[in-house]
Amino acid sequence: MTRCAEAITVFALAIGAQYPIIHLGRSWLFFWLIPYPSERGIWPNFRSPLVWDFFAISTYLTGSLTFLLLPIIPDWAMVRDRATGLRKRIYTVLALGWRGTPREWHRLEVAMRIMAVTILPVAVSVHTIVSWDFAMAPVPMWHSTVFGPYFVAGAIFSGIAALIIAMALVRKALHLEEYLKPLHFDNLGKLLLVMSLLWIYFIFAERLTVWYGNQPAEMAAFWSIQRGKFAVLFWTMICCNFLIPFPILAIKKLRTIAGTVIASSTIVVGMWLERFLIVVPPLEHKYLPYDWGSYRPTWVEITITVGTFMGMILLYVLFAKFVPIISIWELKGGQHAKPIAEQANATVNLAAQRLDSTLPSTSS
Amino acid sequence: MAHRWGMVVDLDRCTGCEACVAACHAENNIATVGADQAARGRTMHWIHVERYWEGEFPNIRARFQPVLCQQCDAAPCEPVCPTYASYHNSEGLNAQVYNRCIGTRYCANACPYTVRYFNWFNPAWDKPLQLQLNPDVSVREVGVMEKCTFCNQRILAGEIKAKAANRELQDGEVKPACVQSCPPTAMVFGDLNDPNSQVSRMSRSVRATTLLAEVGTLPKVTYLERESSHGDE
Repeated sequence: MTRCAEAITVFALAIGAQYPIIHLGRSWLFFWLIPYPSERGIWPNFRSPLVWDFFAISTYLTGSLTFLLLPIIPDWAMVRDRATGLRKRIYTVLALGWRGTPREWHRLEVAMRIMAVTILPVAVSVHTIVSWDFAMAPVPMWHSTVFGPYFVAGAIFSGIAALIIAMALVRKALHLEEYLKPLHFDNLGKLLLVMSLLWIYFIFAERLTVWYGNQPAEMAAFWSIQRGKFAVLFWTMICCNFLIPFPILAIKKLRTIAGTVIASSTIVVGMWLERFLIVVPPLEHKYLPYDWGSYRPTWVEITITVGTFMGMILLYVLFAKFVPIISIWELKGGQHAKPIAEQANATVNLAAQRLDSTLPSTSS
Repeated sequence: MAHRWGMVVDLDRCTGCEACVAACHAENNIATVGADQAARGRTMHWIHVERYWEGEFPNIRARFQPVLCQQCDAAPCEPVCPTYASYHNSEGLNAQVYNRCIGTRYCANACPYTVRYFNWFNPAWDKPLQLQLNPDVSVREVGVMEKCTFCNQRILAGEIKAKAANRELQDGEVKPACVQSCPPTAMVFGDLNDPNSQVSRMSRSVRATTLLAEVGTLPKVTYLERESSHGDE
């Protein structure tokens, strides 16, 4: 399950990180955000939230990738030991010479413990800093103190939803019914329920504060969202993120695999709408009414958006094809692998034998 | 003493003729984008005249307000630029270094006055319009931001001329294209560090206001509010 989730993080981040670069006027110069002694004789501007963003995203990507790849090493080693031909050569490289000695198991465990603790503050910081890209600019509706926690909650919310969908698909496609049980979906559903409540609380708090503040510049953007041309999108978002998933997730009978997948699907749509409503209406309604505009996407923008959606799916499918999507050694060692190396080693061998036939990536 | 360039716009005098807009385009080699792109809000008028209607029909009156970069002392566009393309120069101007700009467009989002413009395309001029390009102003390439410079090229030329003649720059000697071309002389440009300059004296007027003062940007463009209130013309 961790691996299902971490793969989503890494691929979503890898694709998401391309967007600021796609968005640049001179994309080929994106590396000017990196502080290095350049011929231009100038550092990046550390006051700019975009520079913070650059560091936050690269740190998070490095951390997530490490967190994803470290525990795959024993699994790849297992595949290496059982494969032949070209496949063996590839997995030999990927396994990084893993032999399964006690010292290796010990180091892996220490590393995983460190990573599990470090990745949390990094995750919080990256979503906060992304929100600060908005909040640090004096744009009506963006310049808000609630944006940091709001974005962190939104990221966890949509992340769990994506995870539930991915798990259900992987479960069906790779016949992992034995390993991804309804209980998993039930528990994730409860977490999703909590996040849905937290999300509706945040959006209520944000909207009410703006409404009572009654700043003319903010109210223009506010009303365009609440009852102007964005109202349909706004209320669709409320339905998708709260009104539909809340009863499904709150009623125990409905919190089945199918139920959580339906709730997650509406949430993923709703959270995309949320981002759209954060970006577009405030920029259309900045301070001077003369400059108010109307945004409509070009075919280039639509193509890029669809392309990255498809890219995400492609990366995930390829990952599930070439990597054991459920960690074999962790599964057989129990949820928390025993620190005793021999035991873990034996577990791996046992698990490998049992699972060899169930994993299409290692057989066929 | 260093200069601190500022401007005063007398809204009582502005007729909304947009001569300033045309002069600015000609002086600063600003490309036009065509009707389709203009409909997407991609025009690049460094100065534009905002027209608002005051009152209800038939008691209605147009209000013309030329808006250009306010050259803020606390400019929101400056701290957000990751590459220092947008920075504060020694004479208080919000300078834009085109060669440093990578086109994040963050400055355009941060600017409350919406006076920073993005080059969606490489600039092009229909023949023979390329012959009227100003050799003192660089042409901007696709992907960079551009904005009003207070006609920095004219300021520099004036300073060089004064230095060559071994004298101080006179008040009113340097005029940006918009100021020079304004038929009713609604705009005045000068050094705010000189308490006796015309721009300093006018900016101390009781009618003096700044645009969006509540945002706290400390603009160096001052607007003189209209004296004749609505309906008693």
